Amino acid sequence: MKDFKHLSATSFDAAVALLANGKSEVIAGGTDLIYSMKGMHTPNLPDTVIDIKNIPDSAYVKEEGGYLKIGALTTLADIANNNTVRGKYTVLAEAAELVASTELRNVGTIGGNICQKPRCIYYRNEFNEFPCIRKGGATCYALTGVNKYHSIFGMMGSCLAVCPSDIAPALVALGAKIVTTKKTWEASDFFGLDQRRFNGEKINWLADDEIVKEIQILTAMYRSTYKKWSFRKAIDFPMVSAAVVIKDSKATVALGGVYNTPRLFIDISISNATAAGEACVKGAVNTFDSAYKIQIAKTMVKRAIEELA
Amino acid sequence: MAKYKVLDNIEIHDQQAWPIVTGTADFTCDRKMGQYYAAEKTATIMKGRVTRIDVSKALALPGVKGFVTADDVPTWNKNIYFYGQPVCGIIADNWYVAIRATGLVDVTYEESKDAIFDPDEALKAWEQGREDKIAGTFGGTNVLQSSNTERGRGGINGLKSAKNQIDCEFGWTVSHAHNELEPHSALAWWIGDQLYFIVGTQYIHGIRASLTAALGLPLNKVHAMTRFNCGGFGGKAVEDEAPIVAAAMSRKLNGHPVLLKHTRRTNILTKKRQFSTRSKISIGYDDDGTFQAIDARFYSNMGVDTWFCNGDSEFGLRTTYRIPNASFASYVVSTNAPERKYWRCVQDPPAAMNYDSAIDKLAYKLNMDPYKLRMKNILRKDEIDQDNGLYRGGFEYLEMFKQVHDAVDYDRKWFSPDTPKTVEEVLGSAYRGDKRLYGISICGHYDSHGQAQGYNRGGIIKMNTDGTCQVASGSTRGSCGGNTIICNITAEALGMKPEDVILGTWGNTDYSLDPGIQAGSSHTTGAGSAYYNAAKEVLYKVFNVAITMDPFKSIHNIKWTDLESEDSIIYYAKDHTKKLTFAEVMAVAPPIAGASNGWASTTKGGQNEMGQWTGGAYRDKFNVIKKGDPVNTYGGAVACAEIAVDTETGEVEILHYYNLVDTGTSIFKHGVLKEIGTGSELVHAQSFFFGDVYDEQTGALISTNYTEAQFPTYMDIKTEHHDNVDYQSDDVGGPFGCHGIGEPCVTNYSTVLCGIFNATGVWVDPDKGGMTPDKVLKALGKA
Repeated sequence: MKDFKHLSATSFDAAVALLANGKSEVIAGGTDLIYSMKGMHTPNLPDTVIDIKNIPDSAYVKEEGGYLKIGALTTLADIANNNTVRGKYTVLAEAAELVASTELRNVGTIGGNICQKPRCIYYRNEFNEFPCIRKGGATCYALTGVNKYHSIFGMMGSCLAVCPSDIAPALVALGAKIVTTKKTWEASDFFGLDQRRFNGEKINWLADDEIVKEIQILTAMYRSTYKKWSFRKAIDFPMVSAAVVIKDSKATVALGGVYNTPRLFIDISISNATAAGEACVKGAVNTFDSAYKIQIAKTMVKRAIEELA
Repeated sequence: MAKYKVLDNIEIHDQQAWPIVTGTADFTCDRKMGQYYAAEKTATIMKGRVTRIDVSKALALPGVKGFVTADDVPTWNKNIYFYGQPVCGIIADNWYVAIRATGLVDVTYEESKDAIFDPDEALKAWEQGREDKIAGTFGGTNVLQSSNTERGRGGINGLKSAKNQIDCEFGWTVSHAHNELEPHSALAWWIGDQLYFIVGTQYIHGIRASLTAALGLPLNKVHAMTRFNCGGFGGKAVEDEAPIVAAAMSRKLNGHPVLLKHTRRTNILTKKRQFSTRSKISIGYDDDGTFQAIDARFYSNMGVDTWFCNGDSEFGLRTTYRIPNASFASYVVSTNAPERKYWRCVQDPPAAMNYDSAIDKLAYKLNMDPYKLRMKNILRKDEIDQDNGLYRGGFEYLEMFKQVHDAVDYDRKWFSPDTPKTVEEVLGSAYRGDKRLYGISICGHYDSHGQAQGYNRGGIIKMNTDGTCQVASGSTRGSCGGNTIICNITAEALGMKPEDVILGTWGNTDYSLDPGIQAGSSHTTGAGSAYYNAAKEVLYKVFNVAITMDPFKSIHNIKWTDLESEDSIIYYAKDHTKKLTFAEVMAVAPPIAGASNGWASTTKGGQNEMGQWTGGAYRDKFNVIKKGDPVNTYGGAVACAEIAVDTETGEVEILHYYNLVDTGTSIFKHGVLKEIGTGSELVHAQSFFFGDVYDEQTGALISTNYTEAQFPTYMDIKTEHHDNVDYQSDDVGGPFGCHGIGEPCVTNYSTVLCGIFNATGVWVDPDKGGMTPDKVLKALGKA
């Protein structure tokens, strides 16, 4: 494990101030950062971690001012078990419930989940023995190597790694806002859906001195669901996931695990679930070993729509 | 021992369960003796040579105490043969510092251009006689034959004379690491010229022998201890690297204790794994499906391993079916990849995947139920082994197949792959609306493990003055309760209550004889026979004291053989009112102990004057096996998988797995059922989950943690869908007639592959992995 200093912040402002001092990163549940530090996956690990778990009033779920508001430090377990979220924002509750394992959901936070690092068997190799393009290297090893778990929609900036967050597609499908210490982002911008490049080792476009404070979702009774497919059912990252939200007779679909960012499809007709599934894999490429994900992605969308219709 | 009191008794519990369930079991890394900690730096090239190691930055890290290289560790090599080979070890006062320091070691390599990673490339070049690249572990070739068995007119000639022939070729089966929960580790220290070490292993006496050879020490200067082991049996069989390295490290630091503890990554990188096998199988047959000839060739990718443990790849095919003309050949293929070796059930599952598929392919060609094809060709229990001419002590495969067939209601559920049915259609209302395709398959075979070979095993038993006895065990803690097993055999042989037979010193070479490897496949039969004979010596001594005491001494001409014992009471056999307890005898007896070796069932034997068994069949059977005649005592398993295939996602679920394992006699019932249960779980794991992932350009194994290696959790495996059943086949191989079952219970994951075919009509190519959804979709033409 990399040696590091541990500092505790009691407010977001204090945490931002501490972030300004050298190579530092925020830690909340720590389930991804500590994993990376133990494995020394990247040369860009922080010398200092800023613990924000002690910031008061940063873990909550409430409907207020026309929005469902979720504090960044709210654990995934609390979101999955919240009756309001389960009833009205089902896609988010289901996504939270399918993250990792009970133990990890009890400590992992929603803010941390959307700030985790990319998922790639090369990127995550210990001691940085594959210094890939995301870590400042020259190449994406998956392009010519193992790419079974990777993107089916091409790549952003020559990287085939996927966005591994279960929460991200749910937020994108719900059109959520993400409030940080600097600004309020649309989820689609936060995850860079329209970007053509990646933001270093991040799966989002947060600045280095910016911290997620809150998630906001427009209050409504959404007809929604989250379908996750992975090799291991009990604990795994999504190989393919589909967050589906239906309004009137149209669906908004965000696929996870299939591209560098969530992949968004809007105004999908729900009159024919099979056709809806096909529509959501339009543009997918079957040149890599990940081609099987195309079949699974369209099946996940189809089944979600059949269930909601 | 006609009627067992202890063996097969479900009331008998694991003697070592208490420390495990209370968390007080001690593992190697739990020891605290002011030791230093060590970690390894591994190679980042596939083949070549280390030209320079710069440890200056590592040594500058506070807490670092020293380092070792191939100059210090006798089993390390400056020549590199695989990515991940250890090249340097760092010793520090803290394990995390040691790990961090390995990242600061600069290694310079001279990289070789003739590395060979792809086993197909190695095979093709060998077949064409132009081996330009040599992995380097077999000398001047990459392929060597490890076994060959010819029968009748042989395979090729037999096929020529057969009326029909089917040719099948199969790609590489899955290779995967053990990934034991407790990574390999060893704590070593020197006192003068005496080496002491603690290691998690299945075979402490074997590891001690390895260290004496590696370090050039006499046996009496090496003191080895083992404690509890956590998982990975097969991988902890003869794994001597950690203690050798720890011993070298300690020696360099003037004998200070050093604990080498592998990280999850170095454990997966450097430790042994299941080898993968590809094969070519041709079957010659009559119109009715009767086998006439087989030519089978199995090629196993062993990585850099030089131990040809795939030699019996064909064992189940060769020994289960009646085949008059045959050739069975196994080959090892050397590549620049981590060494493969023992994995639970060593050679049988990879090849069984192939030959069971071949039999199902033939059945389909014949438009025949594969169960019926198997039943037509399986040997009867009273037929001799076609190659060594011996009868089998307890071979009842026709009966076992029938039991599985009846238990799963096979005839109602089997349909030709040409007429697929849904789960709902076959299983009814319990699966209402389930549109997945249903498949069923029964496979099974005699297994190359479990033969009773205890002639070179040893056991010691000591009587206590209170009438109880202690077993001094040279075995480690086995997941199936290996030490409890030898206590049970001792109790049965002595006629004592199980609670009066206590596990004494265990896992220490200074206080035990070599009981052989603690593996389910051989320990029960091998070590068990030694303890049976040791118990007989004890009984001989105790009874000879007893006949000098009242009430026995007044019986005219009484001999020790006139006594018998049951439930810790010694009786005059002809009058059970005359009795003494063991406690009463031992209160006045001199110290009594027994030490003995066991027997081999395959050598002619009999009974000596103390009642100890020396080998061969224990009693007559089938009117052909005579008492004392050599017999085979292998075990085996028959299993049925009922599966559901989701043709939209490629997912396969095992709805029911019936695992019937031939135990001969179940010595420790709880351990047996648990062992069979873990075998069923491993069938799931091998079928759908883990498989090594390599970057083939660099030869790097990149699935070096739980996430990437896709190890399943218990929640991924529906154990409630398993029926784990012991089949007691009345084996005559010794007084208690058991088979080792640790290996056979794992073998039949071919049932899943054949079940998918039964459901869908397509064959999935495992392609170095399991039958994962991506491969199922590919077979279905959807990916």
